Amino acid sequence: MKTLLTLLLFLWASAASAQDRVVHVNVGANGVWYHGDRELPADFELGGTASLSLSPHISGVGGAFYGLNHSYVRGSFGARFTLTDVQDPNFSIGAGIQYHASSEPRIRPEEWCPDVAVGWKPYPLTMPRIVVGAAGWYGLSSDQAGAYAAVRYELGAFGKGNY
Amino acid sequence: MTLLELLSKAMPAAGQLRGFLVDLEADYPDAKPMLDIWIARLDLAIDPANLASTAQVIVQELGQIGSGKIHPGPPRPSDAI
Repeated sequence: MKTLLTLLLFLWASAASAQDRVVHVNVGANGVWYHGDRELPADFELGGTASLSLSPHISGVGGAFYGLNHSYVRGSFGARFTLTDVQDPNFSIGAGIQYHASSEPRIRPEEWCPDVAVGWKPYPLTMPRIVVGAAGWYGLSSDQAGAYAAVRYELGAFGKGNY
Repeated sequence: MTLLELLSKAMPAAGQLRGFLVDLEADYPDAKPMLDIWIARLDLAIDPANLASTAQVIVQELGQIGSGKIHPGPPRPSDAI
């Protein structure tokens, strides 16, 4: 527990200079819905995401979430390319592809999924760590499509680039 | 496969996201002004001409990453989602 608290304090302190940091870590929640032949159940998820910013338009992204109603854990990792003005720190849209892994493949298929996400900081001056957004994806194998509305709280940002 | 072709494969996901935002507008009319802006900017971002120019920039950045230069740039809120 002490290690976890130390880590959280470190992330909190390092977030003070989040500009141009390589790694960003967030916690948050999703309301997730699926569309497709199999009528996969909607759920409310709690978890976190992390991103590895490799260039102004290219990031590695990933996350892990727990589904509260159906008791599953799902994770994802992949690449995302920013399609909007990268000089706008408060709004962006990204497209990419992620692999979805799951403890319950019957209701959360495991497969590669192209996705598109939008993120927005509604209060960049008073609450700069809060991001709201949404994402849509479709599974290359299952042909199931999904979407979620999301809220995130940035725990921290750290690591400098090699310019 | 070129990067532009790869990005084009994500366009059905953009359609899924767009439909989801339209549904949210219907369910939450108070959020319509914000969601209208999101949808307009999504349409602009996936416009084929914009997508092609963005792909060119990304290819240049991939070259820099390949040569060992990590230049993270400003935070992108969509990376947190």
